[in-house]
Amino acid sequence: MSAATIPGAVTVAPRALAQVVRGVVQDLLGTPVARTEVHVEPATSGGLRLQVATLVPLPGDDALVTHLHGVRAQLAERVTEITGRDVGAVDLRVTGLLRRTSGRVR
Amino acid sequence: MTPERADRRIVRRALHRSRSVPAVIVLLALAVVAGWFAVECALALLDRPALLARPGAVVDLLTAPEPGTVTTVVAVTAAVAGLVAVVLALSPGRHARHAIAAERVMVVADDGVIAGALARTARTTAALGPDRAQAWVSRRRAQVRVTPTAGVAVPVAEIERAVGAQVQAWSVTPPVQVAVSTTSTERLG
Repeated sequence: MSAATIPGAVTVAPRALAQVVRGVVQDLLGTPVARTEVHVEPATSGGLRLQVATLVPLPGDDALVTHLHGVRAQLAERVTEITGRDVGAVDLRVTGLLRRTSGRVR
Repeated sequence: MTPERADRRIVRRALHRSRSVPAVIVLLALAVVAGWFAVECALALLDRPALLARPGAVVDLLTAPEPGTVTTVVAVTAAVAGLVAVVLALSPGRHARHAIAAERVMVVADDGVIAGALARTARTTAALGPDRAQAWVSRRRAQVRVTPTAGVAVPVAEIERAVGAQVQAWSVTPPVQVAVSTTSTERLG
């Protein structure tokens, strides 16, 4: 009997979904996991609704909002890849700016 | 009686309610009334005091042109009891059960048992968690209701096929029509 034919289900706890989202935000923006707040709920249009409140670094060339729309799309794509759940909506709230420092300045 | 016919009768008995309880109650009531009237007749013949009423008085009461309170109460009670008996006799008196095909034995299952099995089939087919599918079975219909996981599409057609095949395989009698639906709210997980 192959794995696919064994009866049963794989479920992902809401807390785990939120952890995945925090990890992806860290990958995309560099925000420490502890500084990102995530709420996951079913979207009314179907799929998951990710509500993310986080610090963001100032982008290099793009305007901040344009850049963050791109981040939303990447976030949705990556979370779907990892969890196998479709993402229907992503809300991103900027709670502050992340200072990019290369080292300690005295 | 051929064995097949005997089996069919046994299954029919298991699928339908017995009328023996109302029949016993009605016959007991009749026996009590008849016994009492016989005792009253005997007491009247022996010129002894009556238990409740002398037979002559009963006949007078029943044949009086204007019915009294007692006659009306007795008549209404008898009419209601008679109506209940007629409804019990004519209604199908079905149990919430279906017959299931099995080799050499006759199987009759409660609708709740069949519904539970169909819900499990739906869950297994769609790889859903334990509380994500509910099913109801009535005489002619089997309804399966699936609560989707947010972000995961529910293969409704596939579930319908699997549940339909299950019902066919058991050759549930009387046959049921399968309907699969999803709840409007999704759940995380």
